[in-house]
Amino acid sequence: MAILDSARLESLRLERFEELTGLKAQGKKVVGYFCLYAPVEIVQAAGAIPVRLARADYGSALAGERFLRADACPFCKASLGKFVQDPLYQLVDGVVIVNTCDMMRRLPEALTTNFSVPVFLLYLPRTSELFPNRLQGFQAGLSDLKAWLGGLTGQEWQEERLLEAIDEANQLRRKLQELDQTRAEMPPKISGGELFDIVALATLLPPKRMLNLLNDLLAVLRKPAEAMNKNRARLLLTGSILSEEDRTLIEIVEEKADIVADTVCTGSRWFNEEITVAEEPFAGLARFYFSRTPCACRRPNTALFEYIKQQVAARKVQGIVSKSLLYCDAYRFEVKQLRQEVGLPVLEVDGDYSQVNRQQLRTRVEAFLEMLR
Amino acid sequence: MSWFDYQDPTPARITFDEWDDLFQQIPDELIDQFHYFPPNQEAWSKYLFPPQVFAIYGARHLRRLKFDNSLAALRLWGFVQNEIERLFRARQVGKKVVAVMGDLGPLAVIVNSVAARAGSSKDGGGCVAFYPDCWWWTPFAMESKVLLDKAAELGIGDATCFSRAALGAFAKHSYFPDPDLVIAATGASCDDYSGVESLVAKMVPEVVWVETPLRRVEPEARERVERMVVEEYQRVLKKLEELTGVKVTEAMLQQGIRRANHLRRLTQRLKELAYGYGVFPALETMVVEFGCLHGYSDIVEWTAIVEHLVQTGEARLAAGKTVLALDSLRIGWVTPPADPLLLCYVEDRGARIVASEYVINQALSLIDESVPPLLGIARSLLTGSLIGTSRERAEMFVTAAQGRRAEGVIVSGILGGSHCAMESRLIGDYIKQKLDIPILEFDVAPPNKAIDRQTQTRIDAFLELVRSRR
Ligand code: SF4
Ligand code: SF4
Repeated sequence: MAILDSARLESLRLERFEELTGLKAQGKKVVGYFCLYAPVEIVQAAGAIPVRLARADYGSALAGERFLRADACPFCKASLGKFVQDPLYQLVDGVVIVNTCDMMRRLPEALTTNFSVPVFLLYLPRTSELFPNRLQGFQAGLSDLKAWLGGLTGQEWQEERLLEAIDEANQLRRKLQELDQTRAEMPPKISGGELFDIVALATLLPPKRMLNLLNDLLAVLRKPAEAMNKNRARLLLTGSILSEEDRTLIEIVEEKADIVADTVCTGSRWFNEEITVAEEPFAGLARFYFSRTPCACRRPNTALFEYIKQQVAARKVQGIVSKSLLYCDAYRFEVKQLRQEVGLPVLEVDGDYSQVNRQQLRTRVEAFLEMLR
Repeated sequence: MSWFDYQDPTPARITFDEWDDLFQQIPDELIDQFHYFPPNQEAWSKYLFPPQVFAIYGARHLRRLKFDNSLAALRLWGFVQNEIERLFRARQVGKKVVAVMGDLGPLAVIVNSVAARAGSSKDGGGCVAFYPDCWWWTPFAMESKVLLDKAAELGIGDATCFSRAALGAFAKHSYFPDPDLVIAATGASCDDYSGVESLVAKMVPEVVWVETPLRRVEPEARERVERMVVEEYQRVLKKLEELTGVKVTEAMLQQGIRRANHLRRLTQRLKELAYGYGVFPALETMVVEFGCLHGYSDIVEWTAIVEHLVQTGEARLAAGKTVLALDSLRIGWVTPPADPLLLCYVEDRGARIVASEYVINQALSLIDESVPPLLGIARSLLTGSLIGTSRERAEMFVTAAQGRRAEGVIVSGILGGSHCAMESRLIGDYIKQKLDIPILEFDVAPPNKAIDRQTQTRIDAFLELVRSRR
């Protein structure tokens, strides 16, 4: 049983879009971001509305080829294409980009050159060992972001708003963790696809509204569920960013198996940790974002592998599906390593957003699941 | 006999076979004079051999190139081709072998500063810095995909820059000794190579990671970024001290910087001689540019070679002798390193390279000697081609191309090279806007015996177009 069917999801999105249009008309600024390293709490505290831009499909990637070479990351191409095609993207007054990879680091130039959208590029050290100089450098970048946002919104900075935003974000992350925990059950109470949809919604709706919605969903889940098949394979999904519109792989996998864990940045890595504000808020934020479970692009990325292993053990995972976008070095390069380190069978899928090989994908998934029996 | 007494033939580009004949005329006493790891003079460290010797040992690509016919250029080729042997020899004579990866220049200045002090005894001791990044060329030089196949086996396949050859080389253990220390820089530089580093890190006992932050131009932010790099370098120094047992002083670093700057000045002059006056071909000029990274694992001898080249160039200039006709078509080249075969081809078709941007600006810019050494080195890192925006990179090139009145520009990329995919078009558009000259864009093909017909046709048509605009 779907806990949030697609019609409801679509209407929630639409309502929010209309609401954002109205707020914008009243002078509110909408700030888009792509990456989970973008500190949304600062955006909120600056009086702007953060919206994650993670909608990418084949059409938008093709549209993006007007601006980038065909061998650029499909997500980056699609993101540019969306600025041509998607009304939500056209709403944004500014974009925060984090330099997670080469492609992302160069997206600001492509955006400002072709769309005249103001962009703030936040430099996150690519090295992940937490040395004071790196942390200080990153924290100074957060202060620059605060100043940039102030220029965009024209509003005075209010420290209480930041504390409030951190608190709300933490509550939201906790609730999502609770929801995600239901995937640990045997059988899982929600599907991987549902979790991804809910995370996507959480990056669009205001935190309070999302919290209410999550409470409702959790209440439904606490009721005894209809009997689900306990014998389906339990899988972990890892890899590049998974766009909101790229559900093909999940759909095909979940026809016959359950995605009970993931390490994707539009999935569990969005909410798996919380901010501690024992220190000055910016220091707390810097520490949190610097040391979140790392994206594969950070060096060393050992903690990502640790997270995968921990998920595998906690959720009784039997196999791993790794989806890399074409030309996404960060994830593609690590698949062999994943196989060796985790010791589970890995189905390696790479591609852009095209649907042409859907049938072939289904055959590969089925063969993989066969092997897990 | 000294090389001063040797008379170079009339400057020309010659073939592989022609070098063989010419080599017969080089007196043995002269050959005996050139040794790596100076001041050592042992028989094992001679390197002055013609390209044939290296082709026999696997560098088959040499057979298809054209070379400058000076003794200095022969020295260059012998030395560069001998690097693998040199690194294994370094280990045998007790030097620590330090792999520096990913920052293309600055880290080697630090390592070589330590080497200078600790290695000043006759031969043993000290350390040698080398860039596994430079093994990039091995598949081309050998016309073999062995290293690329090995990299693919380890997880880095076709849709990646040829720099993946470095991963194959680490795994094969036969291209350089297993390093005593691996220092790997990553950050606002290159993802392909960062991926290589990530997998190398899983093969070696330890990696010292160094952050390469984004260049910032606003004064306050710039200082902050410089401070961050300086602290990264302090950690590197500490590791080097542990490795060598040598306490690294400011004076040692200053000496290392002076030597690096001397080499960089020589290189700048050589580029002027080549690009401005046509007294050297583009191929040797490119090899010299890349020598600024780490002096092909022996900075002292490499500097002597570049001095020799510059003297040869000055003598040619004074005598009014050029290798390439001054009225050749003037072409600028923006790329990760151009394929040697392509450089030769363009020259064969009546053009000469007058400006280049080979993504290693940080190895070429002079290090400020008036500030504390690590700060000077950090600043040189931050002049890097890839560390800022694509527009900044394009601007650097446009200035150089304008200065040399380039008539056309080649932008060559690599399929799957992460920065190429994003910036080729940005750079191309900017150059078009500023220079209003023909631009040719293509990707460098994988190692092959010949240039593919399509690329050849495109280069021919492009040069025709440039010619027609005269
Ligand atoms: S999917 Fe990969 S290449 Fe694309 S933005 Fe993310 S990390 Fe970069
Ligand atoms: S050429 Fe470009 S993609 Fe390749 S290693 Fe160098 S910087 Fe990276």
